[in-house]
Amino acid sequence: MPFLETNGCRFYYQQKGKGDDVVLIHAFTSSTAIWLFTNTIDRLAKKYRVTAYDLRGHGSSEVTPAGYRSDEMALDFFEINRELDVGRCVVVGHSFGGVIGMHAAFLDPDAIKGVIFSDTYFPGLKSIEPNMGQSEPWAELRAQLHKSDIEIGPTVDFGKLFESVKGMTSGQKADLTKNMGAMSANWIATLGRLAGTNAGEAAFKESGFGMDQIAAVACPVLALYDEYSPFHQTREFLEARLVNIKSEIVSKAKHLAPLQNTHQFLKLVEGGIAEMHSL
Amino acid sequence: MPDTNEIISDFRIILSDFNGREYSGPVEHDTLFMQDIGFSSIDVVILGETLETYYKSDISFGDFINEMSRQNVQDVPVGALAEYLAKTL
Repeated sequence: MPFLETNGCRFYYQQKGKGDDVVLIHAFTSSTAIWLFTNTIDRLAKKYRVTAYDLRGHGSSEVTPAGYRSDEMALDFFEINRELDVGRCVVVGHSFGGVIGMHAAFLDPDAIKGVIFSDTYFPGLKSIEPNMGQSEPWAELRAQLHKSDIEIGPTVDFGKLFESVKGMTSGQKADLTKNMGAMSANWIATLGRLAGTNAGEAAFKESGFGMDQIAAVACPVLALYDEYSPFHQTREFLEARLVNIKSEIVSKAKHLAPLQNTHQFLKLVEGGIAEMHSL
Repeated sequence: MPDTNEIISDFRIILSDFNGREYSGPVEHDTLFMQDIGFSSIDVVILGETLETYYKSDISFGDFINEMSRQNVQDVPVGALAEYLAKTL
């Protein structure tokens, strides 16, 4: 299995294909599995060199006590790219992966040709998304976990989620499997690895990437927001403030467009990458 | 080229020491990787790589998983993967 050690962490990665570079960054609490389950890597690797990695604390990468702010994860991104000789690239990020991609584009514009992100909430835009803490995906997860007597509270608190699932009993796990299916139950069980880290708080910190910094990203940006996204005010802000942005709505999706509408998601991503690499 | 039964036997060998875990439970045609063996989605990623190394072949694992997802199959059946590999290898 391919691993590399950099920036104080052992990272799992995949690299496939030849051509211009594309880097895929998954969401907070997700993993490179999302790119496998949507066949994104194999499909893009027919035209590009595709690099995907598990963020620290996620998937098969090492869990570290800290290092989960977007500025720290942007540094991971730069170091991984350096280790793997990734050149000027297009970044495709799902949710928090988009924050990392955009933060990296702000910190080093020369490293990035363009950023495509999917249903991204920016901690730096908290003031225009005041209801993020009560977002619907969290409410749905809370309701599902409640059926198995796992309580995570009414507002988004990943630290509490990690602690709650770490102490899950085998009976609760069996209940979860019955209620949510094995894939979701096993995913939730893996989140206990992040208990005791600062990931739950750190990922939601502004981390030097506030409204003005976000608006200063000048590279081409394709913002994909899901039809039933809780973050359309973010989309409207970005459309008004970024100089080089296009946005699209992914139909029939609610925060998980790569999985919920794979066909449209991939079509938009492929179109965006081709346009950005042609510039 | 191995047939489906031989591939399922290979799975038993692979799973006996897989990604830091030892699995010795049943591995049959209708066994499910997630529900029965306890795979998380990242284990499926590692399985794809492990199979490519084991068989020394590009198995286009993403195509198989994507087809399962397209058919709305929420788990990975051992038999379906073995049949796919028997055709692909």
